[in-house]
Amino acid sequence: MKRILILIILSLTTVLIYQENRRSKILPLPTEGCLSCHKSVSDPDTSHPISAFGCYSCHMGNPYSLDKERGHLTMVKNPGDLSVVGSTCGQAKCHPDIVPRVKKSIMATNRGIIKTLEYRWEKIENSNKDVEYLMAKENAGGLAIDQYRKMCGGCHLWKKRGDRQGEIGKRGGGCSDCHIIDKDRKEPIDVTKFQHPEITTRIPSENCVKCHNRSARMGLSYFGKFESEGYGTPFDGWELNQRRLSGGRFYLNLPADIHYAKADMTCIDCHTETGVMGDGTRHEYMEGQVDITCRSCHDPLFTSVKEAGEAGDLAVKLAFLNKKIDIPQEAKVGRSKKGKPMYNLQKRGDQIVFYRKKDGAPIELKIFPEKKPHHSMAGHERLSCQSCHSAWIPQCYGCHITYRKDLVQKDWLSGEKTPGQFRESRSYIRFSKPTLGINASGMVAPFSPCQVFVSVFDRKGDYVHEESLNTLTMTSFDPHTTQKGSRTCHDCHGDPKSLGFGEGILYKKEKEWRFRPTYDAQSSGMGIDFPLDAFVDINGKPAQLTSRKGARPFNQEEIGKILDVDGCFPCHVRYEDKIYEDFKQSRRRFETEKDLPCWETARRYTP
Amino acid sequence: MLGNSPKIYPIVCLFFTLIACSGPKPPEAINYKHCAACHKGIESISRNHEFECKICHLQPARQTMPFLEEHESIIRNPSDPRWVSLFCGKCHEKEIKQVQTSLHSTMAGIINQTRYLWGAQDVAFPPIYSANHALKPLPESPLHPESPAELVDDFLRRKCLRCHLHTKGPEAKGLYRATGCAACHMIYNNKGLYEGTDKAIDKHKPSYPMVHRFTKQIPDMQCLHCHNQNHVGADYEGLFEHDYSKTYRSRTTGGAPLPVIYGLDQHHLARDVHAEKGLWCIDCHSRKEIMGDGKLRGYALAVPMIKCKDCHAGFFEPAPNPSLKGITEHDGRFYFHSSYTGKTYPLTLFSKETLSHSVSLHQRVRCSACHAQWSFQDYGLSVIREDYADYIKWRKLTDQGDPYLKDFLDEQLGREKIDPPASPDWLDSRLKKGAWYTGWRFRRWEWMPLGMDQNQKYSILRPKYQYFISYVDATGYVVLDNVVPQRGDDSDLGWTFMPYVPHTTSPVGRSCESCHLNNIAAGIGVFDGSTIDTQLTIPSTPVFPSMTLMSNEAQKRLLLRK
Amino acid sequence: MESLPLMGINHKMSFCIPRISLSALLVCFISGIILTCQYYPFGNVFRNVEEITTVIPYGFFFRRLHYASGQLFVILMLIHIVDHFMKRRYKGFSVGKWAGLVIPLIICFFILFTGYILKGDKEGIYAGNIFYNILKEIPVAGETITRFVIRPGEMFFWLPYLYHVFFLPILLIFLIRDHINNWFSQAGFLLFTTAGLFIYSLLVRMPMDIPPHAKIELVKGPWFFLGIQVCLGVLPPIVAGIAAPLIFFAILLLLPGLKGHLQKAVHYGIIFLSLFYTFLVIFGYFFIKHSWVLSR
Repeated sequence: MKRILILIILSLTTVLIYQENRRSKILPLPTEGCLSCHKSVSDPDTSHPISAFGCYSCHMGNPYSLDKERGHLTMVKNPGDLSVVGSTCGQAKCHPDIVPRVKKSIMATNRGIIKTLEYRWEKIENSNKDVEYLMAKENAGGLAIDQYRKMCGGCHLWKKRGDRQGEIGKRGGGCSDCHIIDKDRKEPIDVTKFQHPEITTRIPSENCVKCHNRSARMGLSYFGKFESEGYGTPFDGWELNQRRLSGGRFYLNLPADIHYAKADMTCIDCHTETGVMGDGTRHEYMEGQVDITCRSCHDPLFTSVKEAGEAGDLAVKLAFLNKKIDIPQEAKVGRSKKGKPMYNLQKRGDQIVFYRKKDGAPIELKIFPEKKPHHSMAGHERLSCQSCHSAWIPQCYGCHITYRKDLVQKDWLSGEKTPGQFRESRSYIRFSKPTLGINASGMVAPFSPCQVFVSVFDRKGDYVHEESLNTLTMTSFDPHTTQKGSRTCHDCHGDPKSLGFGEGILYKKEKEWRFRPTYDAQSSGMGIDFPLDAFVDINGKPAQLTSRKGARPFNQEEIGKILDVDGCFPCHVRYEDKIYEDFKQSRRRFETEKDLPCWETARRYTP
Repeated sequence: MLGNSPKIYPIVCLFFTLIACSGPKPPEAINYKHCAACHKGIESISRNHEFECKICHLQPARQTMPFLEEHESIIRNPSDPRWVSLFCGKCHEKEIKQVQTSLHSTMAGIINQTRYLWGAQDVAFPPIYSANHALKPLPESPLHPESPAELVDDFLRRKCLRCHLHTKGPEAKGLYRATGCAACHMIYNNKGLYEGTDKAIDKHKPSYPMVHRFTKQIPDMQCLHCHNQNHVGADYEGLFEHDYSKTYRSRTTGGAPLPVIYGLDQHHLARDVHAEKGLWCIDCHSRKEIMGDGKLRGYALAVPMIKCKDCHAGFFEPAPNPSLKGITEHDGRFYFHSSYTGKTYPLTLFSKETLSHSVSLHQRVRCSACHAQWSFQDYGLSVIREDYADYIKWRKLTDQGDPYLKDFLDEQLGREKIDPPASPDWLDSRLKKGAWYTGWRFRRWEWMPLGMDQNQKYSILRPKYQYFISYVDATGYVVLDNVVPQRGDDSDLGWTFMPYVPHTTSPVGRSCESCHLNNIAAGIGVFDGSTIDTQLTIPSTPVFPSMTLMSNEAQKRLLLRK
Repeated sequence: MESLPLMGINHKMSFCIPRISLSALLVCFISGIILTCQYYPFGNVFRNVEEITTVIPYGFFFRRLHYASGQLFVILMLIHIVDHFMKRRYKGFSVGKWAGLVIPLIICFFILFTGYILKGDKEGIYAGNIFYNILKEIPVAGETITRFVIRPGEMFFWLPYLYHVFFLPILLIFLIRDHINNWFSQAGFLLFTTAGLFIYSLLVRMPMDIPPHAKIELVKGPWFFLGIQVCLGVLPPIVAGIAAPLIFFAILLLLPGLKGHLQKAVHYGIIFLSLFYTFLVIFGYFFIKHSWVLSR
């Protein structure tokens, strides 16, 4: 018996020795256990070489282990994920100042979306909710929040990256959402050597467009893409057209923004670091965070890098990280709306140079010709650049949402399917002739519709009138369809759609302006007594709401003034015409001096 | 009392049914000659036609037979083109001949224009082919077509010609109608349900006229059974077809989807002012115009018809045309009396005082060019014939305004084992292999490009159409891949913009800027037509040489350029 | 083992368990000495442990062996005591002799607990911190006692190391010296146990060590501690961590000194408490969803 046991122990020892010897010996030992398998992985970028950083400092896990399972325990695939970023990218040694900013930024909080939804759907005035709050609280809010969770909640920095196939899977992931260049790669077959996703500060526009292609669709418009009616035409072989967007959508080609069409600029050429990643304030709306205006470049202010102190250092640092742009050590750099340095806008001597961030190519920059009559003319002080220079804006009229409580839909924040399913459909879409109005900062700006008609169905599938709602809103945003030329004078002063009445015939009868609308919303089943494209009625009474306090359509006085000018265009067609220098005076003369040549024509205007 | 009691009623019915069925009855043939035995209460067809049933509904040979065994030999519609000469010809020979030359019957406009555009014939005018025998009958496409020219006849037969006097077309809501004379003179309601007093006709089974009665009082509803979709007629009622994709099947008031009629749902836009006032189509469109005058014509604008100035006077006509039926003068004011609606309307007359009317160059502008509030602008028509079964890609596009196609696609998409596509040829009513699918680039109502009509007057143009033709054969081989056809005489692409009269009249004209200083009106296109999609908004030459696009000088004038 | 006398199964158990258990202790000692040679209680302890586990030749084996033999010893010892307890053998014991049985058990638990700390991973550090925080709660002498057991900072692992490697084992051997003399004569048991532990160590992996900086929600203590961990969630540390265990062991110790009905009542009381604690352990193992609650 004892002998057998001794024999067993001896054979077990043999097995042990064999096993130990078979274990691959890694000598010399790498600095991190990870590297014993992942021997030659490419560097994510030159600032984060694996030779210096290893894997652990970003990906965590167990760096000392040579065992796959032990080593991978508690490893994070995506260090940029906002739930871990405090111990990875944001750890004290690395970027501790940026991470808290990003967490407060609008792309992480989505405050604007949530606030507007709650305000417009449920009349909640001061909603303070954000993504982090909604992720922690399952049942915080009503229909508006449910809509957010199921329809909007798939685009924010907290979203897990790679949780799904296709475009939606590329969205989210904290820092990585923007800073990773994502090649469509299959899982590496050989773990010992693979291409580490590239980290960059020269963020390609695709990273922006993967999210910014719905709602205001700036990421599409800028590149001249307009989400089409979905015909998928012209056909391509036996397939529908290949000009496709995610979600089975198609696009048409319209004139692209001149910054793209002429200078091939990417999103980040204009959108600065603070504008995108936040400035430490938990802004209510996107426009609070954005740090540039057209004037930042076209009417720039410069400060010398040497004298700017911290801001100057930042400019040098950012230019260094960019690696393509000349470092503005000796130059002056532009200042953004909030005074942050715009390192790619530099003044060297007397020469102003704008560098393209993706490749450092210098681009000719036109300085805003403020003195030109079309810019300096009296009465145009309140015009935003966009009101004239934006050629088109995506307009989606009538957003018909069906909310069915008897069905389930995935909640993007929790990942669970919960009761209540949203389905959207529309009435029609347009791109031309953006409607104008006054935006929240008191400027004339283009508006686009967001007109929600929610039909609620209960668990039995019956329509519930009391819970259903209509909220028709016009929203102002920069369409990102800038053109060199502007819209024409009469395009604003005489076009009923631009003025906010909608398509139809604007005419004068008995010295009163009247309007015969084209769209018959009542007969079209909208349950409203004004056309879908009417922002305001002929008497200056707003027909639709806006998404910001202070934003509004033109009022009666403004409409009167705008239309007054229209009568003069057929003869006084040039900007520099004398009558526009003091139009009030000209108007007074027109009314008092009956021998003016105008009267010959004007008499005929009034039947 | 018994009948009113809901509980007892079915039992009583059952009882009588049992009695009726119980006795062993000898198989006794029904004599279908005793029409009135079943068709109790059927309406008289009209005061002028109070004949026995057999006179109209049985062939002469059968009329004398004492006994009729089968119901099938009864002719449902004696006015059908196959029978019309036999039954109606005795009295209405002249009218029948005239109708056979009318565009409603020949469809010469659609047929010859499309064939010309697709390169199948050298000219569109004079017309060569027709849907009936007035001209050469429309040929059939070869079994293996290889070019647009060879495909066009199939396209016409299966898509366009669903509306003509020889076919009932796809029977669906809003599309129910008869053939021949009855197509107009026998009123169908939108659901195709019988509403009369004939006991034998099931009032829940569609495809029956409203009542068994011929009429000259033809309401607009009847015209719209053909003149629907984005074609003149629908605009008179303010209808503009919704886009095809499922994204546009919206629920609106009360949570219900918009009603589908004529194969799709519609936007409601401003109606024609004449429609608002209650005028019918036939108040303006006369019998001669609709039913033909014996002369063969090539297109609709060539048919003599009532003009605006006939009622409203014009640049050179100080007063309405008094010879026109319904126009009266009273105390220097003019009135129009509609014999159909029975109402009298005061006529607003053309005023030379109006600024736009005072411009002498505007004498060369059609009234509709200014007074049309909106128009049908359907840009870029992609058509594909598929003989190969591949339906998944159409899952969001099953609504193409074609009820047959929708039913077919819905059925195939819900199945695991699919059939190869097949669709009816509306000219010979046979089911043929393959199906035509269509799609637009975009459709607009606010853009109105201008051009010159056959009288060199400025007129609104509409794309009609900008074809992109594809054909996939039964093996899945792409024979034609998105081909733009060439006209028969190789003069231009097979695209055209045609002058037309939008029936969207507004009492006030559009503003000066809707034409002047307006790039779209001048034919420069949206955003100068600079992209592959916006270039579609640049008009192409009309089909007929008498119609043209705007000259360069006219363009400059319109844009107030020196 | 061939000399195993014929006896009932119950008796057989009482006979075998202590012998196997002492064999396991020997294996544990030997493997422990080997590990001590590689273990360094300062600096990056986690790295040190990880190297023992995955880099140093045979390290993984001896770590597994040490872990398995230690656990086996304590579990068998526990069974041994339960065996004595259920058979009411304590009736014939003096309090002193009974203490000779119970106190080694407590010492064993402390050895396991310090071993748990010495892993140096997230769980170990948490356990150490918990232990430190509980000790500090002891009224009046808390601070002083703590200084002798565990100290935060550079020295964190040093005192537990001393206890684990020197003080407690020596104390244990001293307390069970009679047993060793009596029972540790049969080589059969030793070989049998060794073979068993070898097989186990070759086949079964160690529980994973969680890196100290990992961001994870859930950290749990050693199995025998889970009941206390559950209690810490709902009771003040002084009660859950000190008073309750102390009272329990005090009662257990005093059991032979009690008489008649009182002894009977306490006997059943101890059974009840033990079952309750077992329930807490199971509950903690399966249902605790958040980390140990240190400070509420």
